[in-house]
Amino acid sequence: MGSPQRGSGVTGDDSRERRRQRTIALAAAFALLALALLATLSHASQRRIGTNDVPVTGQLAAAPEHATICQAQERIPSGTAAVRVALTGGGGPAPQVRAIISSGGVVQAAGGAGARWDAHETLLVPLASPLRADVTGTICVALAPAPGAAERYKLGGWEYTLLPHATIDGRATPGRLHLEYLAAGTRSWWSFASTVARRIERGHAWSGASVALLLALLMIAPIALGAWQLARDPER
Amino acid sequence: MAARTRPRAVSARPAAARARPLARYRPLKLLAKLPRAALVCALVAALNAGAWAILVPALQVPDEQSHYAYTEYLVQHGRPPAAGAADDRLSTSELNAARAVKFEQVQFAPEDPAIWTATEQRAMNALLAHGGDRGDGNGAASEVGVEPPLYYALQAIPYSIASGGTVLDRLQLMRLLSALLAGVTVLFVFLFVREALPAVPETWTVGALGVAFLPGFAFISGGVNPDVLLYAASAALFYTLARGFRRGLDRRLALAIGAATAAALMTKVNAFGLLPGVAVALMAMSLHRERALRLRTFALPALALGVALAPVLLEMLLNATVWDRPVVGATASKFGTRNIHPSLGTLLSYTWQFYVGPLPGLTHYFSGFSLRRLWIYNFVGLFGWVETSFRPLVYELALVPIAAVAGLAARTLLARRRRLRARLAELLSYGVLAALFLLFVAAASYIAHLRLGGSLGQLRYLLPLVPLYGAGLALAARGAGRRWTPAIGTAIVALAIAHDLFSQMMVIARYYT
Repeated sequence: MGSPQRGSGVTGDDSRERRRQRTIALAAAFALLALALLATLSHASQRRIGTNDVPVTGQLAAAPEHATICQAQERIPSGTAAVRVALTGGGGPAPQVRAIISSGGVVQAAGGAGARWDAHETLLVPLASPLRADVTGTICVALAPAPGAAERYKLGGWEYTLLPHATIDGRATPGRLHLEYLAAGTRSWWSFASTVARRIERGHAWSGASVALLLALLMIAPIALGAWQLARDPER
Repeated sequence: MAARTRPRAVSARPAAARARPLARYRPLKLLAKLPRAALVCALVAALNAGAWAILVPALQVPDEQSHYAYTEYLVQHGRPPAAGAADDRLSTSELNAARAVKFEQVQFAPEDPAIWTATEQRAMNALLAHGGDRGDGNGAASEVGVEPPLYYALQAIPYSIASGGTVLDRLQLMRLLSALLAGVTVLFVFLFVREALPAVPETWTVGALGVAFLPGFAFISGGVNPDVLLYAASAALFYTLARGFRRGLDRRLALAIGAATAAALMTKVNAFGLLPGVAVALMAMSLHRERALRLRTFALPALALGVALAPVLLEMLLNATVWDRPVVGATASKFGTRNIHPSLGTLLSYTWQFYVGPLPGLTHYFSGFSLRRLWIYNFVGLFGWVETSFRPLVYELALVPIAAVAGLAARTLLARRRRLRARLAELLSYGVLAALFLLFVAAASYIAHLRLGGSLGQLRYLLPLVPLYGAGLALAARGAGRRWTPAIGTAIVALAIAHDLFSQMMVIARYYT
């Protein structure tokens, strides 16, 4: 489609001009990309420090407007300041919540004030103070409808588990409820980067800092190489 | 279409190659003959797929556990698994590994992360160390048993090299082979764009890098999946076809076209969707060469198709005599038409709705417009087991650059419509090849719908046509006129880089935060 560019009037000046244009476009594009990255990585939010590994494959059970949901044998990591519960309502305000984490009959943490619906069809329940050590125990969440709202709540979880099933007012549901544990305060991706890097180092064929370093190299190298090739004279 | 004069960029290459030190070494001679830009683009693709191969946790690329199982079966038993099994049975070794990496908990569950704590790592290592029997599975025969063995035979090499390690060692090495194949695909995409659109060399890089940084392509290429080899074989096929249209079909090229098609056919059953289009393209080239329809016109196409089908016939023979598999694997697949009653009318209605959107007065198979809700979503980014996605706003905003690039490509074609007429047979051939392949995928999806209520609406199934996507990007770079080609081309690649980088970050956030 069209005659070859080379040998058809492309002068050295023209080639230089086109190369300059590519370099400027590349610099502008990378400046924009850097700004977008900066904005994204500066976004701060509450970060997860653990989950109970129970996927949400569907509705596990429905809880009435007044109910106490309990789940035993939960491993709750040290530093947990809020619990995210896979619970959805009918679109009304968040219920009033009282959450208790106990181990061997001893209350390790409690909370519930300021509970709110979260973005991912979950209920976010803050604890009064963060856990100081890892706890293996029972989580109970007592629900009461917000003033003027009365609705049933749907529990999200998984039926295929060997661990004790979640209970609603003492009655066993068909499976376990999905729970997530969040750290106190909000953190940007920048401040969270070292934690993410440590996590990436696990779960692979080998472990250690080299995993994250190699990944970083493999993410950056093709971009650098591609940009270099793009800026070069195409005839070479 | 007359064989065009070899452009200077190509004819000057042997001299340049002689000057390169690489050319002195016989095994590297072939590589040294290739344009350096093509090799750099291929390296970019392999490195990028390598990054995806590390950041996506084990078995979280679609069907990876089945493809690993097929390879393991091939190595352990010396033959492919027998198609037609009622269910998949993974080996004890693989099942232990799947448990170790929380495969079932993480699969389809964006709320569940990969292994990230020291406790989980210790539990994983303990389970992996337990090992287990590698020969007691059925090679995921129900899921992938019908597939031809070429990709799995290649993957048997890294599997065997890492035989003394854990399942994760073998899987990681197998993923790296896939990443290398991504480089091969992009190499052929570059060569295809160079042959098909020779006028503006700087756009060849745009097309190739656009593919190298396409996240859907890099994600699949970072996993163990025969689609990866199908992309490479298909890209080689497009390149050889473009070469045939540009320089004329001869015996050597017919053999090359046949070999590329054979590689595709021996990789995945989906490649049969390319076959009718290849036949049409071969006939178009041969008709041009012979200038009339006579017996000789069929000679070179027959040679190419003979080469393409010979390994298929050999596989059928082995299926019947040695491997104890159904002679035609497809008859035992879940995409067979026994007990269902598809009709051409409903297939065509389904095909339209699968790719575009609803038709008034007909059964609706999809909600909303598939072009937007299925394909744009797939193109912009659906990762893992199609459960990892951006926020909905991203997919809406992405419509702007997608429309701009498509508009620029269309503008180039419109501006050069007179020159296009001279290449009508070539363009029609690519069009027929693409259309018949799309129809094949839609038909498979239609059968899946009738049998299982499912759909094959995933980008990976369409990526054998990725060379045309590369050519589209190269055309788009020229859409604003010659003066702006460098800036537009650079912007397209920069957009692809940003798309890839943010996709990687999203996947990191999904599995590790």
